[in-house]
Amino acid sequence: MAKVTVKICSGTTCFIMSGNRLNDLVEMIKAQYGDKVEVTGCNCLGECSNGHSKAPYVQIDDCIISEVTPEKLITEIEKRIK
Amino acid sequence: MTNNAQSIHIKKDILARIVEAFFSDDFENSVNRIPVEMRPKGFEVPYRCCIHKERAIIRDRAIADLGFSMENDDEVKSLASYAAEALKREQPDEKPLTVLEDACKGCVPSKIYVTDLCKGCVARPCEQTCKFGAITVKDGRSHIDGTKCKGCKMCISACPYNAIVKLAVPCEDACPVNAIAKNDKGLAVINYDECISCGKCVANCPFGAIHEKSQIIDVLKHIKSDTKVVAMFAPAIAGQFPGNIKQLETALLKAGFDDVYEVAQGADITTKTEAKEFEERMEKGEPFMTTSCCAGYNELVKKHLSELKPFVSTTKTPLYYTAEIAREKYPDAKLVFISPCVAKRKEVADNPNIDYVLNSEEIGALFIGRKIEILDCEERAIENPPSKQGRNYAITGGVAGAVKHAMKNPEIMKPYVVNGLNKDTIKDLKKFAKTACCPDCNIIEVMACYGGCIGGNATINTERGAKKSIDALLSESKDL
Ligand code: FES
Repeated sequence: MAKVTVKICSGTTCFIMSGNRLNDLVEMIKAQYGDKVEVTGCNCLGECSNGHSKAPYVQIDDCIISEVTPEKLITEIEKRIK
Repeated sequence: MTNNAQSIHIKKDILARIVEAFFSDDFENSVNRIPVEMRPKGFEVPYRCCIHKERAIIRDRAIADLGFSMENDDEVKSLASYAAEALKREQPDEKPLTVLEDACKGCVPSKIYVTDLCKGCVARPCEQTCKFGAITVKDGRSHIDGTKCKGCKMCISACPYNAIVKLAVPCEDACPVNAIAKNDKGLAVINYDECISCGKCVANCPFGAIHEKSQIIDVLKHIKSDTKVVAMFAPAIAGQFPGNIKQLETALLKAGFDDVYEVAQGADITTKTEAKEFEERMEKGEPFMTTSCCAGYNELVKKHLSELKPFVSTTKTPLYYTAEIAREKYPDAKLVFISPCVAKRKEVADNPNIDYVLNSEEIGALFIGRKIEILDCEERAIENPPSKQGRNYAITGGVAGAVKHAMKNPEIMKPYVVNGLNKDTIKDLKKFAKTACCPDCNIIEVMACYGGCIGGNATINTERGAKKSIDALLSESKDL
């Protein structure tokens, strides 16, 4: 099975619009999913140019997800692992 | 950091829109449109009963963001007229908080309540124990007469089915000094004679109903004009944004500030002065001393714990010294403190050297509204960087640690840390003052917020995240 790649946006808008909460999950994701998931931070994904209301954004594989909460991030990862 | 993710997201969204509106061609109209733009026709209502209620609450928040009290709102005045008035205002309102009525009504006044678990049992221990005759059993169930109930909670412990509960009011429970209470209309009211501006009600209201009256428009007005505007950021702010503080300083300059100071610079002066003061007090045989840099704590002593006053260090705060340094260089500038909490609003109001306070959320909104990408900012060269100890003031234990570092005989220091003010820790402090003794300790560091300033009510980053980036900064800073 291919690895799921997760990029948490650390651009200004996403970070401020509570994306910083997602960084606290990084260690837990690594411990929980081992090498099934690769999770990193990244610079602005460019999504915020349409406004900040739907931030924070995360890129999972080729897919951009918006308004990401810790719960939503885990659900999206789980969906792709199964 | 506020626990209420949903309302905090909306709050920052509105603030950033206000910044965008300010720099648009038509500030007043752009502000006026915010509620409808955020909740346009056909928008699926995420949190409340209907779109109108959502818009009403957005309007309330925008009024507070423009710096006004909701308490004086007549519901007719448009956001555009509020915006116009904000532009004309010379002096921001001194009382820092306001309660948003539409949001506050979501929760009910605290009372004792009989739940469906009541079996209407024969023994009726609740009726027996109530000293005020407030409980009667009707139709096989206990009923509480609200006019007689004194809230003593005896019935709660008497009920064998755990059927009686006290309805919580989170702001009342969170306030360490009982300065906020719901009135008979179910609206929370802050008693400013008692309030120490610690920000705990702001952080704990699940509806996000208690709001700071922002000074952002006042600051932006000066930024837009020819006035020089200088930012001084608290040590905790170093942990609130992506990137490092050299990039943060560049970002602040890009946002329109003419110069930027780290308040950690003033912290170094506080540390040295306080270490000396502590040693002198110990030589005189005093039992203990407490720190004095937390504004919430200083207000607590002033309003509720005057018996502790003789033990409080008379050394000035890091902000005080930083403002002196900045004022010397910029005699005519507006000095803006960037704060992790609302408590500093009071300290700044009392210090003629400092003009305004913005919190990290407001600065965040400013970055978003001005489209400033911190990670893309160049690193600003910092000429006289503050010490490791000064930069560590934001984390519980940091102040006492810094003072210890600056002492001639550090081994005599026996610190005791109050990590967050609440009703219990206040009781402890009272006892120490009364008995003039703090067992096994001679210095008390008091932080109103759990974790220290990185746990302030108006922080952006999680405590963990903030601590991580501050630790990274400390690793490249030099000892005092
Ligand atoms: S900051 Fe995340 S998309 Fe731009």
